[in-house]
Amino acid sequence: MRDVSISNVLWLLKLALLLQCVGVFFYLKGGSAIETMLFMEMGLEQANSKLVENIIAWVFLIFGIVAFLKPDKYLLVIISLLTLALAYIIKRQAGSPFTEWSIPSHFIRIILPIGILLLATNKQKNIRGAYWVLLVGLSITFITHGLEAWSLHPRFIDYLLISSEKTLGIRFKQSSAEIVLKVIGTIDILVALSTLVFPKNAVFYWMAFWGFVTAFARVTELGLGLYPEVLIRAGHWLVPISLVWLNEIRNQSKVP
Amino acid sequence: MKLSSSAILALFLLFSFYFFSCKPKDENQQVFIDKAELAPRHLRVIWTENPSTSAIISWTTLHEHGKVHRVFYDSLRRGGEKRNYVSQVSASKNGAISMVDEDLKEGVPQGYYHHADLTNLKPSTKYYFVVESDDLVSDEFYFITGPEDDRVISLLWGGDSRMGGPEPRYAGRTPHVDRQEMNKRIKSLMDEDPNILGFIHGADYGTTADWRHLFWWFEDHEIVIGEGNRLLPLIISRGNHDMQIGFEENFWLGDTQRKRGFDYYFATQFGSKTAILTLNTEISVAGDQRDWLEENLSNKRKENRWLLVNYHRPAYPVVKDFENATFKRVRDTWVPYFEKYNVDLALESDGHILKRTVPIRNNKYDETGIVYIGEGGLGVPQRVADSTRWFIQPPGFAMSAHNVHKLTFSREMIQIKAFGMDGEVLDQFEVKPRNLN
Repeated sequence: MRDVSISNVLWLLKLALLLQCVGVFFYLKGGSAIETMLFMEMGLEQANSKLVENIIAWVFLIFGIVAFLKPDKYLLVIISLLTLALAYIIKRQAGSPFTEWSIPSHFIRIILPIGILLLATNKQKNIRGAYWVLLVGLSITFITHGLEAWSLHPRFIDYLLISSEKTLGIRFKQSSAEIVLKVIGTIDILVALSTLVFPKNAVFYWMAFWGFVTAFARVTELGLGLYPEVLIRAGHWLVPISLVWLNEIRNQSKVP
Repeated sequence: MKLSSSAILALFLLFSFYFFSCKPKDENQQVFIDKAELAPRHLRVIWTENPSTSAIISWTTLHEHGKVHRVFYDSLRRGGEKRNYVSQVSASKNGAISMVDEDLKEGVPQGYYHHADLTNLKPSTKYYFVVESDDLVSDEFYFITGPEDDRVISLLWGGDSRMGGPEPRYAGRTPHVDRQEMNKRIKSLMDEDPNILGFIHGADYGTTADWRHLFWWFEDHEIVIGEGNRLLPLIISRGNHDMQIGFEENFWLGDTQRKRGFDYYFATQFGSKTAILTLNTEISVAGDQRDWLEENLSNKRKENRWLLVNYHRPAYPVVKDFENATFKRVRDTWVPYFEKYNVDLALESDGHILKRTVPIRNNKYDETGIVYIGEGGLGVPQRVADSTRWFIQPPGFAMSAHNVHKLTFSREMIQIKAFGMDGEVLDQFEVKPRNLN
């Protein structure tokens, strides 16, 4: 690989964060755990709950755009904390399978702004830190998804069954999908663990490919209207590419 | 910034600690035991596939598990003297109800579940019973089994009786008055019309199915004891807020669960001409359940005049995002089969509102289509509909109002009436038999 600079990596990560924030914007506009918490738990009027949710949606969008143009460190920390808060609210409100795992499941989304922050503040000095923060964040997300797949997450079963029916015209039995999910879950966990010990580019490319395929499964299952679900997961496929580039930069810097 | 290997290890250990701390903990609560509290309580009758010949009687004991748990029953009133009942059956399932930290903090007492399967019952018959846990015997209650013939029957239906967040802020200190008021309405309807045989619940009983929520649901449910200690059998479905182990412990579905575990779905046959399919939106909708749905819609359609489906997450939501994956998945996966086999009425919950859609086929208004009613109003705070949605334009509608529906099945029609908290009729319409030739 040639001509990869930290600026390239930074640009890629900022793009991932922008896409993620656009996805969160549409997710919140469609109704989320925030409205449920404010209305059901805190007793706010539904219209006011929805208003607050819309404001938070716009905050994500505007912060994402500003961070893309000018990645201010305070702004990045706020985006990270907001993303963590959203994952916590989803966990607290529950109401969907495996929401109790939402924080580790969303870990790369939460940690992505911190990775950008490390690269943007003092580029050369923080490459190693950014690399490990992003790698650990990505691994935690992959491991959690692997465990969900191993536990036969019902939505994952439907992604497989409906996507294969719509794209290949093949209607599999649930038992077949469950076997495939067990295999997928095992691979996800092994891949995530292996990157921590043997950070090979081939494995990162696999993670990028698989991260995109699984994010895009929402679209193959239920149509293009689900594109915000793909955007929210931009980090799942762009962060592994950034790790390849960071690896390359780190290796270059070691050459005398 | 330098991040050493030990820091990474620490991060992983932290993650692991967090991950495993997500699991509920089983803990025992030490409380003072009042003898009067040991008696059987929360008595309920559950129907599954054959309400004319089978029922499950469930109850709770507090503080102590006990050793002997039995149901004594008879088709004649016996005044609660257990030796006088002709039949008896031991509980087939007993156990301690799981407690999580929040349950202990809320101070709900340790509970124990007991479930007994009654089989070989006679159709359209009053069954009187008492339950016994050790030497403590309940009052006498009764329920009426489902019919075997084509007589007129009525059923009540409603969903969503939850409120609040993790802490039951209504529980004890601030009673969940809306749920209690709706339970009073259900009792009134039952007392007014003896043809009402059972209650179909569209799920989301509490905020969670942890004991601090279900305990108070059962306490409030005791309001629904009719005149002469009549119990209205429940047909249970499972919603997105019913996913904890407590649901599985407290709602036992007998053979249905023995066949399919807790990922259940089943068809209930009322008399000779009415079938209701209870589906489960919280498991895979496109897997085994879809195969079962197709097979059962096909079979039941041939045999029945009335064919209904009941499930929690709506295909046609009037509050939440229409394009949300959860609803679109139901719409894309199940609705084509509903339409293929001409389901007569679809019962939906989850949105916290009263609605009736226009008849829908192929995702548009069609006089031959299916009407979807819903979406949950048994005490849950009511939301406001998106009034622009095409499927609730007249003759469809939506309004924010607590509601329970009465469905009356006759040869000529299904008469549907939605009652509000004060007994006012909020909606009524009829569905005529389809000419299926």
